[in-house]
Amino acid sequence: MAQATAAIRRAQPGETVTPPTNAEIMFDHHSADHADNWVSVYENMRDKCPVAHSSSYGGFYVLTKYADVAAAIGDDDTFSSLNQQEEGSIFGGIIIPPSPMVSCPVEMDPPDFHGYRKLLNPYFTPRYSNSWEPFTRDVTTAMLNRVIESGKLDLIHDLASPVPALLTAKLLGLPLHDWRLYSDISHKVVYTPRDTPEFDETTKGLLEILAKVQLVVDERRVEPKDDLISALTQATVNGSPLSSERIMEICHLVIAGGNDTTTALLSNAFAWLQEHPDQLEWLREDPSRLPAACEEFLRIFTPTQGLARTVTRDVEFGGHQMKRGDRVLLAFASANRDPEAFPNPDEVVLDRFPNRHQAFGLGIHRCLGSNYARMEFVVVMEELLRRLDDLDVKLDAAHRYESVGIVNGWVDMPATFKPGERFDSEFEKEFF
Amino acid sequence: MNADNSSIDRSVLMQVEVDLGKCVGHAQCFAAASAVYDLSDEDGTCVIRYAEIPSAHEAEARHGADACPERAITVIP
Repeated sequence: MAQATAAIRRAQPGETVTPPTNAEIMFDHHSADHADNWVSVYENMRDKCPVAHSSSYGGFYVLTKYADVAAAIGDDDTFSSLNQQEEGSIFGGIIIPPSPMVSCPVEMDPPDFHGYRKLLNPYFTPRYSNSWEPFTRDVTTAMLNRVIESGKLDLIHDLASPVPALLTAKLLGLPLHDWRLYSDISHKVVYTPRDTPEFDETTKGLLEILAKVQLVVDERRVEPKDDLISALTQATVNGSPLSSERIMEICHLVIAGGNDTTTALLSNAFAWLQEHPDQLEWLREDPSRLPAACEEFLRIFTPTQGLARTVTRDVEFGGHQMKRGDRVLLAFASANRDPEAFPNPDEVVLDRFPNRHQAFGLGIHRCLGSNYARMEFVVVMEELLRRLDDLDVKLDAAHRYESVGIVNGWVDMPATFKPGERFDSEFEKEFF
Repeated sequence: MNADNSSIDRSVLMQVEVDLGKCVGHAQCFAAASAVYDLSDEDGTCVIRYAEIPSAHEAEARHGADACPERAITVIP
């Protein structure tokens, strides 16, 4: 159990308490205990030690207040995102412990960062993302068609996992007949425990996907098509074309960022709506309520619970003397429950406004795929509301991830519904 | 009364400014008030549709400004 071990007494009414300096706590964001208790753990920390130090994973600070996370994430000079895969480098990138695969451009700092982000931005604007709505709806229709006559499905394996995986593959320009591979692996790779035979299988699958990506990169260099990988092979940044390695780093980000996070957003929403059927009906009554609901689900569940930085210079922050090379976890999940930022923060209010949450981060590294995530949420929810009558999610047969250290998601989520009809789908015609 | 005999006080039409140094393309201004805010096709950043906000759109202009997580939009006055 995460406990503040610094000596602290409870504040009296009307008294202001200065948070302790150098608070040291037991904190492991990957632990099963944290997965079960993160809401109360973070509440406790915001109250008693908003900036605290953990000795896990070689040591890191945790920032839990909205204002502190915003301040740090806005200061890219002091809090670096760089992931430098070199012996002895202090730069561990945006995951604790560091990811062995670099993601570009999120794990870069200005000025290098800007050239790559500029290159990608046009493919991730709201308008461009929305142009993928017909495809997304068509794939969703196909996925529902597969189960619609049986009256049962797994909301994750059959719907929330394939839709983002297929959209991402299509956007990149990967072959879609491999859709089952993308869908299964991108889901499993996030939650499968290490040191298990399942993890080895998953790693094999991941390598298979990456091999396919590399193949497509090589093909598109020679014969570009109208997809993102082609655009990357033909582009230049600062006058130079992108190396294969760099393109793979970008593809890694798009795949990792685009798949399981969106799946987790949807899964958490399905689970919550099962427990609040009146709210499900409220959404069904008027689907124009879905975008605001999406923001509130993002805030309350925060699928990407937190990301990291490396301190570049000695600096005093939140009562701690941070040193160059120190690692810092920006706890978005905690910022999103901060009562100083959100009235009644633990209450789900589907039309909450304003909702300036940090589920997509803040600042220059704001989630590239945020507009796709929002579009996918609305499309999948619209089709679910339209086609799955009497939806009954079997929550006691559903399983959350054991760890929310990377993504706050669900492994599986069986459900039943009243059998319905198939609708036309181009994707189905082509790939089933 | 103005010199041209009109009654509208043209000196107090609302203006809205976006600090593009802060705008990172969350697109919540657009989601809240697309009548006032558009988004760039280059990078999804905020583009304000009016030099001066018509009074019919004043409430929306404030709504869109409030939506921004970066507090990049200022309403004047």
